[in-house]
Amino acid sequence: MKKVLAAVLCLAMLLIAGGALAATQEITVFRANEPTTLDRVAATIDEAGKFILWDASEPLFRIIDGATTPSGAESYTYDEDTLTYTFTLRDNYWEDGVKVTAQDYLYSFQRMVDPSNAYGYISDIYCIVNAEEIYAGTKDVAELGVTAPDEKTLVVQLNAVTPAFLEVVPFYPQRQDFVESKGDAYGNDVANFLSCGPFKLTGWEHNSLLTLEKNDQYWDAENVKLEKVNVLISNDNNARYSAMLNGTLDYWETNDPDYIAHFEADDAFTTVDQYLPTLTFVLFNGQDELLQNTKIRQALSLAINREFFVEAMYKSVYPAAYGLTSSAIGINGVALRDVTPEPVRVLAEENPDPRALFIEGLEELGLDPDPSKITVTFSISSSATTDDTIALYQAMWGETLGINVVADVSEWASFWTDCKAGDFQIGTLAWSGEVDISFLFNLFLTDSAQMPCFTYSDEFDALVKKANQSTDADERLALYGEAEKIMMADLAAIAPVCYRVNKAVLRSNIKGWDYNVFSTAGHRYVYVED
Amino acid sequence: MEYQEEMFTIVGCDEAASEAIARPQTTYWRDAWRRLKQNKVAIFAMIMLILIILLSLFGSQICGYDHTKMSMDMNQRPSLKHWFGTDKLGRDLFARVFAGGRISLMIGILGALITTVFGSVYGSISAFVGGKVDAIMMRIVEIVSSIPYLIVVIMLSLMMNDSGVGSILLALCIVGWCQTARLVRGQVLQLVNSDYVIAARTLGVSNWKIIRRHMIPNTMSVIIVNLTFRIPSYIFSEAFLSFVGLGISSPNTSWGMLASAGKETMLFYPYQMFFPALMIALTMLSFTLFGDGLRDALDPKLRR
Amino acid sequence: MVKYILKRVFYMFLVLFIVTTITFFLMHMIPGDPLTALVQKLPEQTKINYYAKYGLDKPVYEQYFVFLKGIFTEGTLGESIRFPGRQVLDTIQKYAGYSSEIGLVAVLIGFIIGIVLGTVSAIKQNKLPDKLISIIAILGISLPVFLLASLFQYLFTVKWPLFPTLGWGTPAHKILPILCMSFSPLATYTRYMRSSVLDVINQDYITMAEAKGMSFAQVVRRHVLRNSILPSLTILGPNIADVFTGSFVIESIFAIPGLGSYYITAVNDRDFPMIIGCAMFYTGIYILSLLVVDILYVIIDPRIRLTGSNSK
Repeated sequence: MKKVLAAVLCLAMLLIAGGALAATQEITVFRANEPTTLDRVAATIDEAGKFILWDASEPLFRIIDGATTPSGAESYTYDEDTLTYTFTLRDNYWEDGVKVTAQDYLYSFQRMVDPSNAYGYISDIYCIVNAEEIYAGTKDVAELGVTAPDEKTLVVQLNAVTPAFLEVVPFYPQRQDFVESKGDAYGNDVANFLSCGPFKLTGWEHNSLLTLEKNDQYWDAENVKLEKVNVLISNDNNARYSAMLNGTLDYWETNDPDYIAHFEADDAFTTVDQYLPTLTFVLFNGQDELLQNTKIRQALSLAINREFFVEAMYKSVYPAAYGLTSSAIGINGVALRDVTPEPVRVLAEENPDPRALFIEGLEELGLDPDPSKITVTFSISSSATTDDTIALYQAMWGETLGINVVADVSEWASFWTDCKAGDFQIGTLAWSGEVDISFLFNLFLTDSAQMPCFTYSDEFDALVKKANQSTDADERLALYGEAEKIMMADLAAIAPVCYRVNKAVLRSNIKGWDYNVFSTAGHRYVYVED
Repeated sequence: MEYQEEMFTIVGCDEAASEAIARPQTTYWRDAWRRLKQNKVAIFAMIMLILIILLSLFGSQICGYDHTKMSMDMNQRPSLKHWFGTDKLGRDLFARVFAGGRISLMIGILGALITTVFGSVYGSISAFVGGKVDAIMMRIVEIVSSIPYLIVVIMLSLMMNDSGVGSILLALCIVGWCQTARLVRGQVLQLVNSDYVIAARTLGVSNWKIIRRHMIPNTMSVIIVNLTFRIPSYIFSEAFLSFVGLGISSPNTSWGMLASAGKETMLFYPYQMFFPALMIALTMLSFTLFGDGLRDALDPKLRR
Repeated sequence: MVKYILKRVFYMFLVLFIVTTITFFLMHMIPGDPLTALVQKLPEQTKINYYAKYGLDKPVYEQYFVFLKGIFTEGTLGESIRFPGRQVLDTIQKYAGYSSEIGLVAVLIGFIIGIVLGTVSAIKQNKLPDKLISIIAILGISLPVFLLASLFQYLFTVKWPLFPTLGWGTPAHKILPILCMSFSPLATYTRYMRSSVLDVINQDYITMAEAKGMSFAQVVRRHVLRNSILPSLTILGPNIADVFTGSFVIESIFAIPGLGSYYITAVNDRDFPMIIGCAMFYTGIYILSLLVVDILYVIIDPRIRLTGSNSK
């Protein structure tokens, strides 16, 4: 009897001590930029806008803890033969009490494919029947492969096998009467937006602060513990650091070793490493008379001392990259990196002397085999680290290959316009992958080339297209691995430099946080402990 | 004692003697130079400036480090080994600060001089001639000042293929002269209707001579203050220009760039921000003190 | 006087037209458009649809006429491209207001204190007050505003938590930004005032006034201030105009919703309507400030004629 009583008392104490909620359930997070709009299908929707929509809207599916979880949808079925998805919706309500219907989801698709809307990420839904043709103006929107037979059912028909369909397609509802009544102004302010997510938008001081408060109409409202989320718009590191220290800000992501050291040593904060799907790389212009030669490109890639670079620039917070995909990119939790060694490492073993390789390349081109006569132009867009980056590449290529490096700095818009037009020799930038592994590979496809490296390969195209259509995860990874080797090592179309790792810093009394880099959970499960 | 008439003889009036000049003949400029030499503070300022220039030329040799050499001693505090400490890539900061001084001083001083000369001439002509000419010249000033500066420099960075000191000076001066022009115009407007100017014109003195001998000396004080403000302004603007690619890039550096880089790590390594800022402040101080001395020396009313 | 003002207003519209035209064409000559600046991965079809939507596929001179037509027939400066749905005119009005709230106070503080310090400095030339004030002025001008801002933000919100770190809404949010922004004007007006007062104080008529028996304070008030304030006024005009377009640096650091960040972001992102709107707005205010300064010239110093020298 005493033992039972003791056990019960212990249990009671644990229940009371652990997990007691604080009186004020309010957190403050930040975004570096002001959201352009909250209209999910606007031409210029940006990352900040999408971020707010995770809280203020309810997509059919969310990526929670790395898994694709039905959210606005209760369940779905997939017919392999007709490539048709049928979604059954939950009972959810807009903030004004009106029910969210399948019509609302259909309406947002219809706006997405409307040519006069000029949605930027349209290629994400080219997999839907007739989407591409309607967007190009050759078919009518009534022929779109998305229908809503009744209030709670949405049917989507695809024109090809699309393994990452549920992750890639934006299923966000928009209510027709509301959107039409606001016209062009929809999504630009509190009064012009209607929420249906775990939170509703209640305040928006542009370029300064957004406020989200708990939405009582939400279908899962009883499990949402936070009352208020403040989103500060701040792009200055010192400001954000000061804000974290004095309690104004509760969450931060930083890569600076000094800030990280401070927060790791402080118990008031929890720190978690986030391995981003981002690759920083050097871009070669395959049409340039010097860089058209493969050996030249390979030599330049091998001459980059990646370990030295990340130590000097980032105190090795960022890991060196020898491949296209970081450890964050894979299929169903299996990273490509787990299955395939990084191709440029293999290339380095096969070619221990980059300078000799470079000279071979020069001879193949019929140029003077003296590297010191070569001057390359290194294009870069301006940022806080630009000057140091230039100094490092000048040192690395200067010492290992003996060539001269001249920098060409410009601001982002000029830089990117020049790159896409092929108006550069060597450039550097970063590109983020997505939860769908095919995204990064599709950038190099000959017919839709988004990566301005101007180096093409039929073999690569064939491998990637086959992998895109397959449903066998192992087969896909193997195919992507082969394709990666072609682009990164055999052709050295680009030279990978480093992956990005952020330290997420969160006040330690805040729980329920989803640290996954692809998460679209928003702040639904977050709460503040006492 | 009693004075008797026989004790004195009448000497008379020597007309020639009363015309004798008591001091050696000197012009306005020579007199100014003489007075400047006597001003201790101004001389001290000039010496400080010369010292900064010398350090900028020979800084690397003095401390023994090359300003581009990277090392594994990153972010070190000032010590006997590295007098100003090191930066993020392990480069000696003393060498970098004075290598940067070469560029910043050159851009700051040259830019300020060009702007001031051009602006002063422009402003004095505008106010002196007056009427329609003044109206047109001022409208041009308004137009030049109103076009968004960022767009102008992006345009310039496209047109100039190499970003040397020349293109930077052009980008800085293309708008900078406007303020000087308006300041000088304001001063000249005050003077142009003074009695002595009207007298000089009536006497038939050429306009150019009037501007040279009366207008410019009397606007000198404003011109000098403006000049001393242009210098740090241009030093910082040059760092802004690197954003569009018109500024200095590695392996060269400047105080503006060092200060911007220092800002990022200010809360952890304050010395990286402190030393470039100190150099800018000291340069500004010497120019200000020297400028004050110059102003006193050139002030016609203080002539004795 | 009235005729003069009318003439200047006419000139203002002329200059506004010229500046708008030049800015419009320059803007379209630099590489990049709103789409390239924002979206990295771009299907060809999106470009086609997007350009059609915003009329960017038409030749530049045709876009120019469309723009002018918009102003004269509908009185609108258009809609921002980067921030769809936000009217340029409304945005400018609202956020220029916020920027000016801190900017105007900073400039006025700098002006008033600067004038006083400059006068004192000149009167006590080369003595201790002069030297001290000169040092303050030098620090004010050679410490870059981004340094002051981050430093003050850390010192006064973290080390000694007296003010909110960032944001907008209460008077407390305005104090640090205003403080940071007032150093530069303070230094400027101190130095210019000192130099002008020195010029004036050695004039014969000042000695005459003192000889007549006026007290020194009276002399300063009646004669010195009026005659020496001109250069400071010349600078004050544009300073006030600048206030409305905000300081990009201060607004980023303190997360202030002002026009400064809109303006610079607009150029970087090639948001054409916003760029032109801000340029027109700034030009208008700038020219107005110059007009006011020119009129003040005449009121303060009777020697100055409105049309400059008239002895020809």
